Amino acid sequence: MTWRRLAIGALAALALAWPAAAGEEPKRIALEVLVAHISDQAGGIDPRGLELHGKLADQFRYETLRVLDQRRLDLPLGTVQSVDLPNGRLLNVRAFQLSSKGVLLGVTVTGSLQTDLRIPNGHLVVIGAERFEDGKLVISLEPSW
Amino acid sequence: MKERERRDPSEELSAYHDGELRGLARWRLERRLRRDPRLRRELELLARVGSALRDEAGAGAPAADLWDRIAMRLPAADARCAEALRRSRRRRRAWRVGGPLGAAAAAGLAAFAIFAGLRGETGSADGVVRWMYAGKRNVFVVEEAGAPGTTIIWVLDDEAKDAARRRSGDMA
Repeated sequence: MTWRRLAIGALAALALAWPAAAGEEPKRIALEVLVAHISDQAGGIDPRGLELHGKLADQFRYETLRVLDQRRLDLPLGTVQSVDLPNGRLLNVRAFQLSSKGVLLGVTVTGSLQTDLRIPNGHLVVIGAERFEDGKLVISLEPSW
Repeated sequence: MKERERRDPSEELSAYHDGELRGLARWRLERRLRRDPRLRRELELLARVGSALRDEAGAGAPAADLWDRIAMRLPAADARCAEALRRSRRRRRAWRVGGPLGAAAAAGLAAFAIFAGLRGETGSADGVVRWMYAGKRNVFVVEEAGAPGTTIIWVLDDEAKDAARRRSGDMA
């Protein structure tokens, strides 16, 4: 009788543990979003944007990089989250699927760009999509999970 | 362990969706698709990736001439891209450029693609950009540019195209 109870208990414990083990894949990602403004006016590089500047400096010519917004989104798969851009437009992001190749992310900058991206963990995507004031808005996206 | 056992189902489906699944694995998955409505729904979702988001985001990219009139002095590379695109438009197809893109950009260029208002993929199965639409605006994509682990998507301003046109007009 005791052995039977033990066996049942062990089976129950296995049954409870199975979903946790089987569901190792995360169902949400974290998305670092940084919105910056670059322009030719003198102003220098915002210390918060140094990493972005390191990626862009070899590709584009500008005098100023100013970080306007920086946030970390918690993005469950299948949900849309939006970030208000300083020019009144919206950045919408939606994580569709996670695989070994990365997260399948739908990104829209309203009135400018729509794209689907498969982004590996920690990969940085920089979008130069919107003119703003005397320069351009630059958005960087870095998912992790 | 066999290949089919190693693969995660959603990964396999994703590979099928991307056209990367071949032979027996493809046949097996197609058989499972016929039998499993849940799997079919998942594939459908993959096929429609982005469309739901786009619906929610609202349609209607404004015409190029509605953009503000702020001029930004774009880098020479930008203007060169625009000029290349102008020529490519005449041929009504996108260009894939492997050549120099300005001294700085050329240094670490791994992949470079230009889109001229196209609906389509980058053409690289392993690329980050799977699909993109930017209306009539031209976009260039630089993957792994100089800095590994980075993809740059750059929507070209109309001024860059105009500058390139003027430049080519001067030269003509």
